[in-house]
Amino acid sequence: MNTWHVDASTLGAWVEGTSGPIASASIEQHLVQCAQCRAAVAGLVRIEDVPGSWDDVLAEVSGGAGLVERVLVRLGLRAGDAVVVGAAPVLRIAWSAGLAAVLGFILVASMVGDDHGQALFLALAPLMPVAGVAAAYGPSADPSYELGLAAPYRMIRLVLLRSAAVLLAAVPITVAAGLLLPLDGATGVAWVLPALAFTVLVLGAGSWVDPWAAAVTVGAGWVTAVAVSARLGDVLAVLAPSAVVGYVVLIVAGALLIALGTPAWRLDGQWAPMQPGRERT
Amino acid sequence: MQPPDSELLKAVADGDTVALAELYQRHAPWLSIRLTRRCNDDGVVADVLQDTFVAVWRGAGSYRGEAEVAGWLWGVAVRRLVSRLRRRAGRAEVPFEDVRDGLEASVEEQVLEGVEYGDLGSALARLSPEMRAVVQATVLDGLTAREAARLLGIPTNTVKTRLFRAKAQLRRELVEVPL
Repeated sequence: MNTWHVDASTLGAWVEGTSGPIASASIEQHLVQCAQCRAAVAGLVRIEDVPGSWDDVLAEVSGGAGLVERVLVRLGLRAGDAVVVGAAPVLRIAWSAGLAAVLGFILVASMVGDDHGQALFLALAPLMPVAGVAAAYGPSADPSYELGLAAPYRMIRLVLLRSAAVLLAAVPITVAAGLLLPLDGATGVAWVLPALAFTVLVLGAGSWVDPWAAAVTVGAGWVTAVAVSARLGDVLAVLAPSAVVGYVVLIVAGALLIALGTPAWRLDGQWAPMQPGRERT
Repeated sequence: MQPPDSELLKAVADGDTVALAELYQRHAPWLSIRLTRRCNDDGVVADVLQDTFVAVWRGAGSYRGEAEVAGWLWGVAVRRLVSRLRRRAGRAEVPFEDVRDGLEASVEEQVLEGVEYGDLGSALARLSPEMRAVVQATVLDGLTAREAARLLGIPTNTVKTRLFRAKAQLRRELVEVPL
């Protein structure tokens, strides 16, 4: 029955606010009953130009925000970010996987004696928690996977945010483990710091550069540093006290970048739900 | 095919935030434009939109499925706008200039039976801006006289009087004129 549609230029004029009163009224009445023309409006208005934000709605309806979310917001995270990091049902699996990766590496670190083993361990360790979290967020593992997809986030950002959360939680645990277990303390514990530093740094840099490029650059830099110090005969140099200070500085710098960051992280100009493997537009 | 709005609303009633996200994606753009025509303060429109979708989240179960979801959403949004503006003790910053086929059912039916669109348009165009604003708020936006009064910042009785006069004028021009 409804076969008439507002033509593109008239609709454009309405969106711009230049259609006259009678035409506007007519268009508005038509829009209420015509999904096709509403979709056309959605095509003309960029979702980030709509006043307010989906993040705020999501934060509100996920409401009675849990303890985790409120603490995160207190710490300065945007409400929407806090929700995706803390989304309650998700958390369990991702955190267990992330923490399992962290603790597993502590154990491996305690067993690896020779320099080659240590070098390999050090090269991979900081990348493991992220991999663990990423693996935990597949469709099969994550009940709110689709929430993640529907939210206007890049998947890599989601994974990094959650990795940072896991690593932050892992710091006290690894310190405790380092004190309790007869480990080579430095190796077993200290690698968490570069891991956290890189995660935070990539998160922060992602506001300005392509996050995948940032991740690859940081990862390559780390592997090179480990290889070079192994060549020089002391692979543990990358975890020397002076280096540890450097990681703390990086963490702070990364946190600052996140705080200053723009929403460039959003899907570029579009709000299409994320598909796995489509992160790089 | 995309699921219809009513399906999404059912899913929202069951606590599905993905469905709510989809509704937001579909409806926030046109709702925001239409709200902006009635109040040009982006901050207010942002609040109203957020309140609207939060209200949809909480009240999805109360949707009866009789009317278009889009109409229901607009009904929620425009009422949020009214109460938001009342809280602010201000009034809409954009005067209501746009209007259209107002009139109550009986009059509307007669109009639809025998009048061409262009005649209705020109008849509405001849209404004074004040009368058009009232017709728009009550008939087009679906507000009660009292709500319209809050939105327009005029007494309720004035809304009723102007609406009565506007209808009389439209009736004269549209119905009583031989076609």
